[in-house]
Amino acid sequence: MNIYVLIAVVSVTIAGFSQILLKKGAMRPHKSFLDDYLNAPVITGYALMFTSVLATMFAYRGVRYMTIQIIESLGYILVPVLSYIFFKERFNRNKVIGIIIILAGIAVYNI
Amino acid sequence: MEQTVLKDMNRKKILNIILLQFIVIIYTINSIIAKFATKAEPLSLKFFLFYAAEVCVLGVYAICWQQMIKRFELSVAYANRSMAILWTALWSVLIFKESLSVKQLAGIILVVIGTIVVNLQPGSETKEGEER
Repeated sequence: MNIYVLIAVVSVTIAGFSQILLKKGAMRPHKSFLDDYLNAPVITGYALMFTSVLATMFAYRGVRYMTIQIIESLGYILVPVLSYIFFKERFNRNKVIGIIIILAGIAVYNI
Repeated sequence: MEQTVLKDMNRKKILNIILLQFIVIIYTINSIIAKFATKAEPLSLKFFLFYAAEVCVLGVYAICWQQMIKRFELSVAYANRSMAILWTALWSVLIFKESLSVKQLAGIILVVIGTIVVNLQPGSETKEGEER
């Protein structure tokens, strides 16, 4: 596998986990506006997101724009799967069909 | 009585979805700045100003996104982000006078339909600070 493709895939995975940490932070009881951001899950989440942005920028050196867009859309599958594992967010009919249509749309747009 | 409560819930949900889309729009403003940045001479003052603007926009987006995912299931909020494809296409047509192919238009329509289908699911919102 092209190393840049691998970097893009790892980057999407990191971005997916960063969203889980951000949601974890968002589920804490609200104390103050600042406290919404200055806590371990949210700070780590944003650090991961930043890492993922840098990794994706690096991946662009060796992979076509279209390929990156397709790889990035894996996030639309990964985030619901992680949300199911960590937050027990259920997969219902609307969610599954909607995400499949979104993925089809991204594929049609880019390919 | 029950109908009024249901109506209120629906109204709140629609309002939250509109707010979420505004945040996705903020995110797509970055693509406009990035496009302008490519026209600036590398390492010029303009170049750095564009990059500073990108960081600012991303910062505003990050702050708003964090507030918004309190109100939605993460999987639903994330699916809404796919609408960036519509907003980015809109900017490229309106601001950069680029044209869209039929294939691109078809892709955008599919993404919009998919997002609507995800949003139509009942109980996709969460209360603030709720543990699921």
